[in-house]
Amino acid sequence: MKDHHANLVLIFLFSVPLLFIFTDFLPKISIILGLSLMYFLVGLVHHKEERNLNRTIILEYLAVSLLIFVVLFSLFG
Amino acid sequence: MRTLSESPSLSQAAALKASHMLKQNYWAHFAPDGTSPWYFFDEVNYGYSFAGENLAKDFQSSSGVVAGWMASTAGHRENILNSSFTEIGVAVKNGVLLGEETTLVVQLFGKPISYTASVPTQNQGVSGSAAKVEDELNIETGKPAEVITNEAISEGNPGVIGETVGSFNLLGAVDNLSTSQKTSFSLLFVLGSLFAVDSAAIFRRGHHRVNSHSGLHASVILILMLTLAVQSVGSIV
Repeated sequence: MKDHHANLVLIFLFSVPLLFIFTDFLPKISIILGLSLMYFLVGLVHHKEERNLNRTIILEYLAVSLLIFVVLFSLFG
Repeated sequence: MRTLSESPSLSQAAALKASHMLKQNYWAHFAPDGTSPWYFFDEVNYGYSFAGENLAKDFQSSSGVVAGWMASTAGHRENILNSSFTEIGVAVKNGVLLGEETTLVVQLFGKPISYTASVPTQNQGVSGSAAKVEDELNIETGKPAEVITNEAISEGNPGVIGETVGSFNLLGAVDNLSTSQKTSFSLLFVLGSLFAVDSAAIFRRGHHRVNSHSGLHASVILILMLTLAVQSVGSIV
């Protein structure tokens, strides 16, 4: 599962441009929420598989996920 | 180069043009129904010998709009610096255009006929017709500047010829950010840099780098910064 991080970056690279295309609120908020949640969950799964998941890493991914949501929502929400 | 004076009539015409674009839902000098920019000059009874129009939308600041126009190579800058114009009018209007909330800026230039009477120009020779100089460009749809000649006017040429070409100015986007966006951009930059440095330190210590989560955080923050910059790019016509 070493490709988790690369896959996440690729998903972001393909999903964020969609926010410029959609004009309706629902698809945009779905993408923003999806990206934030996916970032958090994939991060946790990745570290769980690597057996190094701890509270610090959980908080780190949670903080970055919230940052992603806040920045994208302020721009497109 | 003479200083332009602000004309309430031109500002009123600019406001009419902005309202017309929002109402008719178009982003161009000419409306889909053929309404020309000069129609709005007539609406406020502004007789002119020279006239020009610059349009902008989606800019976050006044300085961003001006910077966008001045960086233009297809005619906006020429309009602003054109010594044939003596008056200016500007209108800013918020509304929904093409399905998106936007801020429109309409900048009109003119040289009133009464002014021309004291400063003769070659355009006066067209059997009383007003000559129009129109420069168009678009950072998104860069279009070569064009000059409508006296002959074209006398033949009733509608005024806009040629097709538009796309272009994009990312570097100018950061200048266009509002204060709050610049703050966000700076914070993201600092945070992203910290993660990048951490990722590099991990790599130097001999740990695998690609799967360092600091590297992932830095990559995603970089994407957010680019998104912020791209989202702030305005367009001009």
